[in-house]
Amino acid sequence: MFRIRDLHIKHKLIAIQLTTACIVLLFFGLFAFLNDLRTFRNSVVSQLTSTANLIGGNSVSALDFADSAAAEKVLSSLDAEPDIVGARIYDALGRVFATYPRSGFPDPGAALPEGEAPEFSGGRVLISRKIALGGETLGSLLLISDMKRYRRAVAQNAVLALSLLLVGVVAAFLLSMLTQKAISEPILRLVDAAKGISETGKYSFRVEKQGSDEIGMLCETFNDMIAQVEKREASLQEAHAVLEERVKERTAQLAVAKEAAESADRLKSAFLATMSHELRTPLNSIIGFTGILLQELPGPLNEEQKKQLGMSKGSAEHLLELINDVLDISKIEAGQLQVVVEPFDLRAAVQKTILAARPLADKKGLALEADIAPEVGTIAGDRRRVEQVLLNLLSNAIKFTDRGRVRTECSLRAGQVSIRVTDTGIGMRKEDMADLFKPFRQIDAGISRQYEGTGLGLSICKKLVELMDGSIRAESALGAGSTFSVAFPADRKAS
Amino acid sequence: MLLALQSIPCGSAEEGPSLEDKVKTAFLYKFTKYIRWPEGGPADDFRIAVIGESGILGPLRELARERLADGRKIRVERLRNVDEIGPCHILFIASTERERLREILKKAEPKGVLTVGDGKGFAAEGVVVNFVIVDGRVRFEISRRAAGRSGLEISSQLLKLAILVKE
Repeated sequence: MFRIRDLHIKHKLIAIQLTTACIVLLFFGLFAFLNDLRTFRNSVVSQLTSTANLIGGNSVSALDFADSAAAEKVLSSLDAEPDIVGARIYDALGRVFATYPRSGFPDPGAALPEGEAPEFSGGRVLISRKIALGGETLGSLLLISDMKRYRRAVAQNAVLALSLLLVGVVAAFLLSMLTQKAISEPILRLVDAAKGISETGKYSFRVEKQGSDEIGMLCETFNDMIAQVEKREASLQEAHAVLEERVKERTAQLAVAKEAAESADRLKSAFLATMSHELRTPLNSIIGFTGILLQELPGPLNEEQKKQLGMSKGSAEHLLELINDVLDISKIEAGQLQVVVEPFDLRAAVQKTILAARPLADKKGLALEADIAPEVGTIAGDRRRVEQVLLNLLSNAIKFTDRGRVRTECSLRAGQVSIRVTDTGIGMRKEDMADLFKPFRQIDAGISRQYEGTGLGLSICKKLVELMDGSIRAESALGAGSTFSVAFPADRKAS
Repeated sequence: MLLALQSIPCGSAEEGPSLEDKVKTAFLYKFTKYIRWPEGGPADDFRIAVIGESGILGPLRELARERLADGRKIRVERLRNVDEIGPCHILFIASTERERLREILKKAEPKGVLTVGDGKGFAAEGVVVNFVIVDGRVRFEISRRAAGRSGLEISSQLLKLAILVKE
């Protein structure tokens, strides 16, 4: 749909000016035309009136002396008046006294005018005059005038008015084409500038101000605005650059720190590994020689000596265990621990591990049950690590169980090995289970004193299981025993 | 009274005034409206004198009874001798006075009198207005020179209707 507000401002301005000009021109043209019409008519009437007065006055004596020839002579002077097509003089009784022209007097058509006012009818004007002398009415005169000339003049005037109107409209159009630029051009320039800036993002552009009118003010404000945007943009960019620089700096610092930390970590792990190894060597000889002493190979021992040597050996073994755990942890954390993938008999491995834990259980009088599903057989994995995890779980279970039993279940389902160790021990509180698998954590000091351990066992288990692409999970309630479940793929591809 | 355009029978021998004389009387009366007399004429009545034998006397008398001229009473006199010509507005000279015409005019002119003749060629002799019959209709001749001699001003309206005559 055509709407004025969708027009270009240029066309809008031209339309406004043209409309105004047209209305004014039309108004004045019409006014002038009507005025001309009136003037023409008046002039025709006044001319006719003066002619009538002249003829009337001139025919007084002719009428008075009943000299119709003289009267006709007077009327014949109307030859000089091309508009007058007919004239007649009547005597006092209303009889025709003289006629002009002698032949071809036009039919007056309408009723003869009563008074002195001209009568317009059928394109003719009829005017009548009384002919009187000294207060005595001698007769009357009738003049009939053609309106042809008047009409022609009116038509000419109309044509003139119309052509002037046309010229005026054209002139107004040309003028508006010129004058609209004064308003539309600065606006268009502003539009172009705004478009250019929004498209290119170059805020350095400025609009040239041409006048101090509203558009000039708009230009100025626009420039101010763009300047502000430019300033803000610049400061933003600066801030951005600074920020980037800082990030770079920090990243570099962090990299250095990370490098330092990592090397320190590696150093620490290497140190720990070396230390464990170095510690283990003398410890092994202590255990070995204590064992030799206890076997009474060098000589018989009394009970007291046996007891104390036994304690020494126990302590040494505990220390070895501790060192082994630390070694494992440090190896895992240093990324040096590798799990091997080779086929082994899981059933045999589980049975062997349970057998290894039996002395501990027997010592506390606990039943050690095993439920190995029939499908459990040879799988691919790291036998030693599986055994280590299971032994750890079993010894933990035995450690925290005073009465009852420790049950081991092993099954193989959908390529997943599942090993569950359930005890009837002291269990633990829910809130303590969150830290269960973190290194160097034991639930509380009381427990750790009562149940000695390194606090590394479960942490190592978790790490080992994860190395085997498996997961470990614990379920427990305080005083209701615990269940530790381990699951890992039965046929792990070597990585 | 207005007259229709109609023929006037000449040489009427009927009883009473002829139509011709009536027309002439009417014309005479109408002349008064188109002519201005010089100052110093008779101040009281509008005087019309008739010299010689003419049938116009009757109608004139009738006119004098019925109408006013120039707002004044009309008085008609009959003159027999040239000596009787005194101050008056109109002097009607009948056709019978052809012999005495010069004498009459000589007497009348200085007095600012409108001389109206009723004889063929009277105008050429010095009468101001002279009735003639043209195509059976009463018409009149005017000698402007004679009018000037008598100090009369004749309206162009009247001159327009007249047959202008040079002396």
